[in-house]
Amino acid sequence: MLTIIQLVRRKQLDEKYAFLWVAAGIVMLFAPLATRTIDAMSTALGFHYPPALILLLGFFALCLINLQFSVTISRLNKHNKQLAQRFAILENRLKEFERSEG
Amino acid sequence: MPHRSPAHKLALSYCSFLYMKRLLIIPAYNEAQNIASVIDEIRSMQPSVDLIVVDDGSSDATFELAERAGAKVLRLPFNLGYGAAVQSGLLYGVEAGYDLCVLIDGDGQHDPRFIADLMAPVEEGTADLALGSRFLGKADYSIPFARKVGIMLFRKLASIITRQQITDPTSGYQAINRRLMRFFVNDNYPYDFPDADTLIRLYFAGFKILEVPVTIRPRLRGESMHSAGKTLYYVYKMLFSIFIALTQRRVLMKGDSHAFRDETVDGYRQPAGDADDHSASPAKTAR
Repeated sequence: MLTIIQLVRRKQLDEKYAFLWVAAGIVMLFAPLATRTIDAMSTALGFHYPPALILLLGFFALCLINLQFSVTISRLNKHNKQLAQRFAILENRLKEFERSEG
Repeated sequence: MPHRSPAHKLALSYCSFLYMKRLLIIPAYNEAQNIASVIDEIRSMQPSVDLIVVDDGSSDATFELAERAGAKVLRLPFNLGYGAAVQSGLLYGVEAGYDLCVLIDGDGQHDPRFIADLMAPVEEGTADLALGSRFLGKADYSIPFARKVGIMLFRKLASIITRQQITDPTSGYQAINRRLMRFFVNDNYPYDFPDADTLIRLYFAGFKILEVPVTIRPRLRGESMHSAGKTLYYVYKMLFSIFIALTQRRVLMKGDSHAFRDETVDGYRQPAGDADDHSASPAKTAR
């Protein structure tokens, strides 16, 4: 949790992408306070070992965070491509312009 | 002769007296050894057609040599992949008001003798895409076995889905009309290699494909970009993107190809906003 706060403070991590990490962190921090509820839920769901529920939820959370990353990477990749294409075209036009100006 | 709608006939007669602006797009990645001779050869056969080389972030002297050979060059700041390089050329073509583009690889494998054959059906309006097929022409090249199996599989698939014989869906030797150029610029072109999936997408969007026999020569010098190790990824990518295309069938049909025809045929950057907004889906662009 402290690492995340520090990263955001140093602007190395954007608040937007810190969201899922912060949410996961808060859940982890406060989970010990609700051991009884967790135990009750686990037994209700049929887990023989209550902490397994936490592990499972943690696993889902990580999957979600990863998926968000993949979506973000795809979008950035597309923007990157569009920028590069536009850059190449503009550079070419600038060159043509300079040539025509002499 | 295929059935022609009145609008199509009108377009035909329109095109016959209108001078079509034609552009040759030559994607090149690390082709310093070949690019100059490729440009010279194309020039000697098609002296009246404009030509643009797209240097896909080459680490060698491709850019300098292409410029020295007198070609206009679009230089991508880093390597984007074959499809994205071609798309850059198409974007340039759309913005500069070209009516027809021919894609021809910068490695010398595509014999420029066939440029005219490819342009003819697109100029006449019988096809939106003329696809140069090596399997309709005289064969004088060898293809690795794994690749051959892949080609066989996907040409079968493409032929079934598009209800016409497609013999060479991997071919990068093509002529494209303006309508299809605009479709490709609008996010309908893959980063890596356009293939059967691209053909299926454009078929659903209502474009007409015609195969033209060509011969593909062995590379002049150097290594080809297709390596056998990538076959597994290729099969996955192809199957998955064909599946995606099938799920988007309705959207593609709705955003029909007529949406990609401009109001003004000539004029530099006239269709304001359309080309710049290449993140918009075809359905959104449709009116």
